[in-house]
Amino acid sequence: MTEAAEADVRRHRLSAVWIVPVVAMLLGLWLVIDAYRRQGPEVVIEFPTAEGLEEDTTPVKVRNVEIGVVGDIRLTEDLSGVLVTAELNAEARSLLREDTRFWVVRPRVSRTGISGLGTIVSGAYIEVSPGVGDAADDYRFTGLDHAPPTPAGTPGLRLNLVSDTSGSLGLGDPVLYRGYTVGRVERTELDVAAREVRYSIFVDAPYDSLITSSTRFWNASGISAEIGADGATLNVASLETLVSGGVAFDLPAGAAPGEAVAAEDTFQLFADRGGVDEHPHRYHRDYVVSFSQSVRGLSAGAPVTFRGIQVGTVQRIMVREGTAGALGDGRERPIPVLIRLEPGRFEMPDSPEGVSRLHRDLARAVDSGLRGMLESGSLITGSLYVNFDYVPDSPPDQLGEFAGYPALPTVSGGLARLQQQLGRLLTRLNELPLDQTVEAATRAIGQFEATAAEMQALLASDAAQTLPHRLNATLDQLDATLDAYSGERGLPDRLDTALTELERTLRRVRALAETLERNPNTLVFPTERPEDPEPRAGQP
Amino acid sequence: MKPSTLVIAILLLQACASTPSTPSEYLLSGPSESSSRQHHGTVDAALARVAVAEYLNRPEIVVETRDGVIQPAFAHRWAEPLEAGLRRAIARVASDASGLVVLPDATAAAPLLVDVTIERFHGTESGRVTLAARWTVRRDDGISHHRMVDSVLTRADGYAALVDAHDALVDTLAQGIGQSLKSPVGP
Repeated sequence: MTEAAEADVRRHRLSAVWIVPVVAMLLGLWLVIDAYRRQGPEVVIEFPTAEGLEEDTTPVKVRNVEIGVVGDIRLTEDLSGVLVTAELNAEARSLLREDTRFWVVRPRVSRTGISGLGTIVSGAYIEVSPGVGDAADDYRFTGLDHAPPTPAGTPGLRLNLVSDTSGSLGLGDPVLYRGYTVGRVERTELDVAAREVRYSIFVDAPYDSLITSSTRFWNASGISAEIGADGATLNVASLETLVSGGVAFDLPAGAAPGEAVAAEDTFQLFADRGGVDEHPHRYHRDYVVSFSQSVRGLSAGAPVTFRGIQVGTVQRIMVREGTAGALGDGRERPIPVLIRLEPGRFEMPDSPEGVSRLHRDLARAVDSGLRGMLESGSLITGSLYVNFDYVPDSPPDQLGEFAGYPALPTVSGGLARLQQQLGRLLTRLNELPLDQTVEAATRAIGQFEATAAEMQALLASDAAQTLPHRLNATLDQLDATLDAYSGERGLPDRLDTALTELERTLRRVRALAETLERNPNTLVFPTERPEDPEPRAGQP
Repeated sequence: MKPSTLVIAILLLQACASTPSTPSEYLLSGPSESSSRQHHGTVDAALARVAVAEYLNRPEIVVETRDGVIQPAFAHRWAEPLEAGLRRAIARVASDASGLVVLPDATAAAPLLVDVTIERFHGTESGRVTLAARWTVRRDDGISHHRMVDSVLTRADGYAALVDAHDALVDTLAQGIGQSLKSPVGP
């Protein structure tokens, strides 16, 4: 090889010096890839405020395990909140679901208790409640003001409660079954359109099986006191509900468990336990009954009965609908009363089907003469109630309609009939000869006193006084006589022997009579008898 | 009166006038008479109830001609009801055996009362006489129950030997009763 050729070969051979930068480049590439692989998701959470949060400092935790840190905090465009960007670990990617919840843990004092005291020293942090739904498409979440009452995925039953009275329930208030906490209130909401308060409650498994279609809920907040003939009764669900409020549920008195309910089903929230017992049934239908007589004494809540059995309650007197345009026309118009009938009180199914069946039966009953009437509940207070009964010879009628409600026909006369009877009774009382009666009673009492005096004198006489002694002596003699008879031990045996002999004799007489009947000449002619046996000497 | 009518009347009178042979009557008195204990006012025991089986409750002496067949001997009778003879014989022999005063009839003063039931008491044509009896002794402190079954052979032919065998068995029964009167409560 020539020198020129050797020089050309050295010019094309790489120098060993290049190994170092190549290795460094590969190492750097590996570090970049590794850093990319280790990089976790970046989530953006919107909070109302950034109180307690610090960039690059505030941790993000799950069950007190740190899974990330707050990176950037900035205001939203409309300045209504803040957007917090948090960089999470790669392992936290699986926690990010559609129902994953974020909230800031900071010191908090509420009526349900004090929480987050530990953050006074350590500082606030963002807590994550992992979701169980589908994976989140984008990592943007809306943070909560406080911890969710029920973690996602908790087994149980979520229901809605509706109340038309002012309630004192708050978020996290307990749901009680016979004083035992089995769930909590998750959400409270005022439905402006319906003018009612709606609550969302969650009952943990396995206590959700206690809830059926027959279950009733009531507000267990505070204390209820009742004074009756049995004395005073004070009801307090629990000390917790006394302070913070709560919801209780149970079956109405005497009710059987109903069918299973579905999630998000809606129940009425009664004001107290008494309301549950007054309205033990869930389904009902409103009807209108109109009366031409005075309804003074009839109020909302008054019972509606069928032959004395309560089947519903009076809801309200429809003054507005009844007097609309009627005061000025000079005509007499009946006063409509809205009543609520419950099929369950008729032993019908407490269900929509039961409501339909009640309506059909009422239509047939009206055709057969069923009429409503006002009855007096108390002559002292003047309270009235609505009673239904069959009125014989009533003119045919049928279900009507008033203000969108089905109307049941009525007759006047229940109270008027009572007033007439009362009047007749008072008239008869006035006609009674009370003076003569009192005089006769006075004479009778005088005669009784005279008789009693004679009896007293008779008992005080010597003969009456000695009577007990003579009676005692007679009894003693009788006792001695009986002892004498009972002391003779052989007497029963002799009597027994005599009776046995008498029985044998009678048996022989009967045998003789039978013999004479078979052979009457036995008395005259000797009977043929077999020869007597001849015993021989015994042979050993 | 026609001769034929007179003959018939004479035959009838002859038939009515015929008397059967007089039966022999026997007394059940035990094997031998002995000096019974004198009764000086105090009574130790008494026979309260003596019952005999229905087939024995008749005046005729019964003889078993074959298994289960009983025939009364109309010509050989007991001189008194069998129960009376048993009472007298048992009381006498039991008194001698026990050394107590035993009366044949119940009395209120007796602290011991004996009830006797005779279940079997008859002989066979082959000369074997059997006695089966139960008795109960009643005391103030309790009752004891006893039972005896025994049989003997007659020594000669005829009813006199048969009655002697009956007497021997009554003696055995009375001896047993006398012993039970001395023993405390219990069989």
